[in-house]
Amino acid sequence: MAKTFLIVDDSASMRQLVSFTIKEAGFDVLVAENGKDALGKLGGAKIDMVVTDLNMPEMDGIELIKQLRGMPAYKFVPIVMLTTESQETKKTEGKQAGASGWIVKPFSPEQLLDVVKKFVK
Amino acid sequence: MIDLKEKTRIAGILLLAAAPALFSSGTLRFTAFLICFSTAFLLAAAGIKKYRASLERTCEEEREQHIKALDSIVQPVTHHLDANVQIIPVLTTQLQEVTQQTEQAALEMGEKFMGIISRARKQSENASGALSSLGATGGDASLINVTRNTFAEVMTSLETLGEAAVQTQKDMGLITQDATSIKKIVDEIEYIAQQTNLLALNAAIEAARAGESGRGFSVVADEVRKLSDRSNTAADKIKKLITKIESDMSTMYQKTEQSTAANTAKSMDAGRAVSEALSALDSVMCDAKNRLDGLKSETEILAKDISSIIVSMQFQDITRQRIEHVIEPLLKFKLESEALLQQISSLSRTIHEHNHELAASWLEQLYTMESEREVMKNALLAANSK
Repeated sequence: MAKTFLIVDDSASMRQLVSFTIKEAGFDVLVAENGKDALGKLGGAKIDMVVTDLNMPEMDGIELIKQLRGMPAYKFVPIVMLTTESQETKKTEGKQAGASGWIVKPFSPEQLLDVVKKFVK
Repeated sequence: MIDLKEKTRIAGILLLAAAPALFSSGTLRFTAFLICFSTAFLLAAAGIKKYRASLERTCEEEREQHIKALDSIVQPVTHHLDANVQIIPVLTTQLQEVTQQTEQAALEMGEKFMGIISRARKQSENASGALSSLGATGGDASLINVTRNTFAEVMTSLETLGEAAVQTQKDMGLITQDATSIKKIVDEIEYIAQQTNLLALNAAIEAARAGESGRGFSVVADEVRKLSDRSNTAADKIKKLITKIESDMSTMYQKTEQSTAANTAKSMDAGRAVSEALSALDSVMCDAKNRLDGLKSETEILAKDISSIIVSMQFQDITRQRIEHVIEPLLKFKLESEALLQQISSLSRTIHEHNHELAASWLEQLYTMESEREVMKNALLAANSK
């Protein structure tokens, strides 16, 4: 059974890019538009990794990471943040909230897969 | 400036003040003084009140002028600010529409580019699979190798058949030789039979010469002659059969030789043709493999190019976030401007109200009757509420 990724981004084009790259690598994906949407769609389902944007309406990436880390089912799931160069503070906040790593935008599909494969074999 | 009427009033007061001096009697002078003083006091009080009213009117006019001047500054500013505040939602809406449109465009472009990558990879895989099954990749199960191996087996079988035919020919030669040997033995048998027949004849002659005592021997000699005849007949039949076998063998040998030669030649031709065909196919497959490798390489380059495009397309997301960062302060500026407008408007209203309150108190001082004051207050309230 293929491993499942949760992809959270308010930008439809970014969701499309990340989903396509992950699916091409042979994984399954679950997509959400923001943190609140992600928690609603998860509903306790098993996931193997999370790729999330930080700036999102309703519930941002930092809050989502905090919420996930508070749930036993997702306490140790790898979480990778999508950040920009100008988001150093957010990156630090994300790491403190429990993020496992980050990718700086813009990134190539190969760079994304390199980071993903560090966490999921 | 003091007008003529006021000058006359002052002169009158001065005259009244000097009037008691005209009377010589102390009582009359005092009485005149009281009358003149009272009259002068009343005239002076009326003059002072009028002068005060004049001063207050002047102040009121000046205040009105200042308020008008203030209004002339504040109103364009508030109007300009209000106009700008009205533009902000339009601008933010336009910016949001731009981000939505660019995002939609990026989405469509991304979908198309990813479709191109998928199709290119699929085509490359299909071509690779087709050539692999035909043998371009050199696997044992490839069609060309299966054909080549089967052909090799057929050639081996043909060679085995050829060798068997040659062996058969050799065996036929041996049989012919054996037949010749048998014929020699049969000749020996014929010779023995002839000699036996001769011996039987001699024995019969000797038996006849012996007379009665040789009669039994004569019977034996006759039987020996008969056996000799039968041996001769049998040898003759054997000889004929062997001759026929020799003839048949010779015919068979020739036919087998011709057939083997023809088969060998055909097998060699077929082997050569198939080998050439396989070599040609190998060459075609090698060419196709090279082309396929080129196609794969091109596909990878295409995928990398599209990856670069996808990287560039992420600037849309970054731009969107930047625009959102512009929209946020714009909306904040709008809220702050609206609050400022309210403050200015409130201040302006307060100034006007205060002005009217001052005017009311001034009017109260002017009007002595309560009903007049009430009418004036209502008029001012109605003016304020407009």
